[in-house]
Amino acid sequence: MTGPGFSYSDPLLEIRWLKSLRSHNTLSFENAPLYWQLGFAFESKLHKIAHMLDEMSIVAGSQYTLDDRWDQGFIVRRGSATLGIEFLGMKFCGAIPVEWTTRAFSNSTSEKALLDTFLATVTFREAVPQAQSAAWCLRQNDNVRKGQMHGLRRAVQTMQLTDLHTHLTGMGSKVFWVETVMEKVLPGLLRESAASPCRTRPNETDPLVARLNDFLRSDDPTVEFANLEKIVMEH
Amino acid sequence: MAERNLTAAHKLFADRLTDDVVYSKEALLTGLFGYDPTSCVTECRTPIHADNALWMLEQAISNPHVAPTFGHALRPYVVFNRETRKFEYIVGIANADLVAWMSTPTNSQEATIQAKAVRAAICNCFEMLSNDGCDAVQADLLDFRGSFSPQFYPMRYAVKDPILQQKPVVYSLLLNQVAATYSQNGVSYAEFSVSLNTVMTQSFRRHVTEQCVWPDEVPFSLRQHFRYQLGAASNTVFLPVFLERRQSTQT
Repeated sequence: MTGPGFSYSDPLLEIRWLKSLRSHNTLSFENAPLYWQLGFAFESKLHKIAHMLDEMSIVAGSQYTLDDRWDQGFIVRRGSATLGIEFLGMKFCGAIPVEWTTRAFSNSTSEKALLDTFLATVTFREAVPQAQSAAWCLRQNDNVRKGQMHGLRRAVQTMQLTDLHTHLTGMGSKVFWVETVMEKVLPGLLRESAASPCRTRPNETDPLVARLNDFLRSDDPTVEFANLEKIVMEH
Repeated sequence: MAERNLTAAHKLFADRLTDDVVYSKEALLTGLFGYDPTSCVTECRTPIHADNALWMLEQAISNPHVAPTFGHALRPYVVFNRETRKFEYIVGIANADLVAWMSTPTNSQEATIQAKAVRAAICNCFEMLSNDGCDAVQADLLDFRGSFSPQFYPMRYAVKDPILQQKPVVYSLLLNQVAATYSQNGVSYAEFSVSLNTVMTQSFRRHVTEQCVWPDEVPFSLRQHFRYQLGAASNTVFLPVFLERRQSTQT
């Protein structure tokens, strides 16, 4: 994705930029491990990037554009130079983030020297957390205990929590699970799999045996037997 | 020796492999009782033999006035767990058999009573209902209150696990169903907790996307499209869903 020019000084532009990111579906499930390594929620990360861009624009005196590898840390581009941002840590007051530290680096020699001088490490102080980041911070702790309940009360009082937060697999009524899934969807999937052609060999007329052979000869290394081999050995 | 094992694996695999969802005996017992009686060893509960567990299962699912019917249905199967990408050898009941028992026949009153009893028991594995499978009344709510464990977990989750592990496309149906319900009731943004192990599995990421292919049996009302994004924190994974309904490609 080639992002638009960005100026943190314009809040409306920031909102439009956030919406454009969402509409382009820039967060994909395939990159989930990267987000896991970064350890930051989406909204919170964008907020940090906004601050970092603001600081860098002051130093470098120019606008930057988003790189299509922004979700890997290479988020800002100016000309042929690519700047990376690395999140180093956060400090909390209760459950509310009050400070985070980031570091910028570049692949450009001249720019690197400039940035290393001024932006080797940047610390931002969070005044008011955004809604999702506050909710995330509340959830990211293992034990939401007495001291952290203050942050929860504060977030609730200022309406900073999400509309709903539920466990996905706990959802669904008996109509969905029994009448839809068990009685319609699963039998339909079974009929589809029965109708699908099996990769049979000429001398293997039994489709199940042929399917076993396909699995045994498969090049897919991820397909394994959990307890079948043990049972075969016992017999 | 290796060749003999391979032949045995062929036979075992060919006899037992099924593409249907199979509910293991342990999952059904957990769904019906809140714990697996065959493995529970506590001060107040002594381990129950497998035959007694089968009897308990029949008593729970079947009507006591009709003959037990589940003895011949509990049989070994080989199923493919798409979450772990492993073949598993389990003893349980196939979904087709369970659905056949739940469907109400018209030729026999006893069979009708049994089908209703089975349906009520299975519905209770997914939702906190009254004993007859209808919406919980005040007495049921009083019974549930203060005892959400194990009546809530693992009872209401145990039977869902085999479905989601063997047919992960149901994740997408579930997310769309819940998102549609929320959207119709004015919720514009919601977050769903999903365990990290589930999110990291390939099957979950493949099916909880917008490129899901819907089976023909999925009602059109469930074929809504919403925007999904994944947020990850240090020890919690949640799934923010922006409930902006899109124009579906099918009419």
